Amino acid sequence: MAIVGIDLGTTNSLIGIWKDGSPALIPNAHGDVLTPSVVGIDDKGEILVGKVAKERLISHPKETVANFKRWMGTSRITHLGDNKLLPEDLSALVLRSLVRDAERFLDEEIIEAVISVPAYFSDTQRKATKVAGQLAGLKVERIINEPTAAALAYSLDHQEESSTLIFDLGGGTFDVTLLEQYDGVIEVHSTAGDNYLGGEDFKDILINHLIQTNNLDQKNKDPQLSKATEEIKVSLTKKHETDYFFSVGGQEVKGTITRDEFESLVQPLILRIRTPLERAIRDSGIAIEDIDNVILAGGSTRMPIIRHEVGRLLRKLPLAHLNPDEIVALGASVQAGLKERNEDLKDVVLTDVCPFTLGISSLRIEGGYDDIPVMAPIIERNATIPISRNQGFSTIHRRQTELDINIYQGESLKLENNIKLGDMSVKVPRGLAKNKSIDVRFTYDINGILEVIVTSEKSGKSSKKIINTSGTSLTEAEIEQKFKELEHLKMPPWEQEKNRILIARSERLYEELTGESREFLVAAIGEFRTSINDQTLRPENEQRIRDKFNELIDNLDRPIF
Amino acid sequence: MWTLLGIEPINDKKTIKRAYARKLKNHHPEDDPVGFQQLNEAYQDALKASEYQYVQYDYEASFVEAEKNSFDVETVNTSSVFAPLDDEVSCVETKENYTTALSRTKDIPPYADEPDDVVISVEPFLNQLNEFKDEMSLNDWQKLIQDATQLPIFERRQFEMALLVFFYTPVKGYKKTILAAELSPEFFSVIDEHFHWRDNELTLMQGWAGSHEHNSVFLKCLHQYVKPSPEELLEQLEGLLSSPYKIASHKNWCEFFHVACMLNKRQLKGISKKAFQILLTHYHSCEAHLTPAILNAFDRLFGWTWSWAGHRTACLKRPYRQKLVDDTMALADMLIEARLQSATYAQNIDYKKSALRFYSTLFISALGWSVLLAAILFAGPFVQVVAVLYLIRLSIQKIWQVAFSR
Repeated sequence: MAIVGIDLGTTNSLIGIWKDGSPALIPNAHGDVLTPSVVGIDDKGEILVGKVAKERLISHPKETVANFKRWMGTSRITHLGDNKLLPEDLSALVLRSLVRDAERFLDEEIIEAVISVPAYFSDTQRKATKVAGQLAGLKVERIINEPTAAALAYSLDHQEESSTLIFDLGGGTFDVTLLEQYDGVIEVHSTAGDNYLGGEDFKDILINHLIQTNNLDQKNKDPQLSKATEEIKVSLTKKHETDYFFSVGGQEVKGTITRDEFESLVQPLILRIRTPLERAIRDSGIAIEDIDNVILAGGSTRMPIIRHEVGRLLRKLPLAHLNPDEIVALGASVQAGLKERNEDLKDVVLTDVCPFTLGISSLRIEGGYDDIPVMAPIIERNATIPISRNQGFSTIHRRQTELDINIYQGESLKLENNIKLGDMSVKVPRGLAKNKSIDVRFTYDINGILEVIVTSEKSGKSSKKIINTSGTSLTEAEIEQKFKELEHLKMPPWEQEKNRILIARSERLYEELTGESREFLVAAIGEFRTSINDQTLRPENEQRIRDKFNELIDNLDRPIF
Repeated sequence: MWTLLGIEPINDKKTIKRAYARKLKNHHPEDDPVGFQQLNEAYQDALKASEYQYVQYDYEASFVEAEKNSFDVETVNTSSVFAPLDDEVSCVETKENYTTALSRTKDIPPYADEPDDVVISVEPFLNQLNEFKDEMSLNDWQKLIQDATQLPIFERRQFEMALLVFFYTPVKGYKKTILAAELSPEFFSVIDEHFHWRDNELTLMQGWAGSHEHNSVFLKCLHQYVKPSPEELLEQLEGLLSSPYKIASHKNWCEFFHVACMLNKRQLKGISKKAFQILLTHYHSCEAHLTPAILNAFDRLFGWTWSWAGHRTACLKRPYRQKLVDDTMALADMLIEARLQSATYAQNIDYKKSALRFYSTLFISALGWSVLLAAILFAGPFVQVVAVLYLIRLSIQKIWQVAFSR
């Protein structure tokens, strides 16, 4: 009956648990803590998740999806075999595989999870994440912000009074959070971010550059090119210059790229990290020179240019002794421990903020905006949650009997720049214009769920609405039904995972090799397949065969850099 | 709020935080959201209060320090001359922030890992801004702003602040002395592009620079200069009139009339009635602040006294209460009175136009007098009589005017 913490990332997902006074990450079937957030389907209609699917991205691009976290909160449909899947469904499949690994590892049933999301995820995207959890058969009460989780993981080891800036640049999202800790209290002051900035964008720029310099007539999405580019990007974080050599669609690509070149290419993205950074610092009211630590989270912060830029802007060497890939998952596990009120954590209190302004549309008769409705903020951004705020509004016309209330999220005065979360309409008794007639109360709870209560002044009647945003939101019954649908999607038995990944990897390798070594590989694959399908095979022998085959592939698949 | 925290009123932030941490264990955000919110609000208020007391205490010292450092920010000086007391506080605050910010930069050693080619000093940028000249082209400006965005955050903020201040500064080298805020809209869009002022509107208006007023007026300007619209003008007027402390500031009115002058005659005519009504509704609350100069400026802008009869009837036609009628009459009296007084303020606003008018009247009257004299001297007896009569009428009119205005 454990509660787990899950970091559902754009590129990789992790699962962890609070155990014996410290957070621990749980390895998957392949012994890695990182499970790639990739979902695929094989010829038998079985769902593949993680490393296996990632290997198949190149050999079976049409039956594999990645980076779907970026679509969360939209109703984009992915066709996977005969199945039509929403981003929630795909995330649910990843969650299901993570939970299955954890259940095996812990030998315990898992019913509840804390899932981390980028701090700047909107209400809709948070809801979608929760639905994904439900679809995976989990109870998800708590959604935690990724930078907050990172801070939580960090602050457990460092109890001293300090203020900390978390710089979280992941695969797809970017967040900045400023917080302060003292006497067991972890107080988040402000959060800002960009939902569409991450390692993938850096990669896209590099891909475009490669296409241009080598005159490739390839689409951006080509998985082989994408994989090669990823390798170039990674090697550029270690080396100042790298040679590349790979083949795309029968065309051989060869060249050299220096780190300086790469850095000048990504300059527009670097500029984009400044705005959230500044906004977070401004909102927090903490002076830059009072920030004691800068912590990096997210794999993309490995890039030297990011480290350099953060250091330059904040005049502080960022701390990087924690593994940026794992820190968020560790924090989510700590939050899971907090959630179950673990004894070790009883002195720790975490207060978080609502990262965006919430309000309704209104006409400001006195303020000159009497023809177009504008945003009337009710909960200002970076207010400490849980919070409940109310404000009075009035009718515009005499004898008006109904009021439409549109609920928005965002910082702009103009409504079209903000995100609409929902609407409701209330009846009011007939009366004169411009008399205060309703009271709107916004309650934003600790789980990031907004509840709107509208009370009519005269009649005292109130109507309540828990914001269920249109688009992707589903009713309980629909979720139930979807859950059953997803049940049909079978995952392969756990034991076969290791063999599958070897085969998938070798199939991918087949495409990259030519001539003699290609033939050799085919023969080896065939032999491996027949031997592991042998019913009389004993487990220890199976392990031996697997190791042998693995060694063979490793020899063939030597990195070119 | 202090009882909720369980401590005596105190300035020390650390003590407040410790008390909050202690109490937080009893009002855990997960179990007791209502209690937590109350506690959190008390905590935030306490922090704010401690800051306020600190400012009060250090006020004198910081002022002296600011004087000593004497960083030449012209606006701050001019506005504190104009502005009444509460405005002055904010100005001094800005100045304090500004100067201390500047002195701090000098103390900080350069970042250890810094390569040599990276700009870290804000000074050259500030100098460039101070020496802003007429000849500065849009390209130069763009380069200046763009280079400034390369600064580290702390210095960038300094530069941004200087930019804010800059837009109140009269630019000396620029053809004639005008406010920098009167520069062409392109200059604004360059800033907006790099500093995202319009996106951060709310934050800027919350006054991170310490002076709320400056920012809000400035931002309104920013919007107006880029795209001035009569509706926004009315809103600004409403805003000015509905908060008496703002009205008192001479500078705010200046800003308002500057913006108003951007509109063309037809647009002004369109909002004239509305503006009058706004003025009328707020007339009672801010009678004391509406100096003759301001009223006169209004009159020049909208020409109310010229079309006076129309306005009054328009207002009186509606089924308003008696009080409103009285207000209208009182305002009308004030307007007329203001018109007759010397229009120093209006000259300030519309210097060029009034100068032209002055010279043209001088020229026309000189012409008139010479024609009259010529008529008296050389023409026949009938024309001579007419001319003398006309002369008498003119002098009576002059005497009457002088007597009335006294």
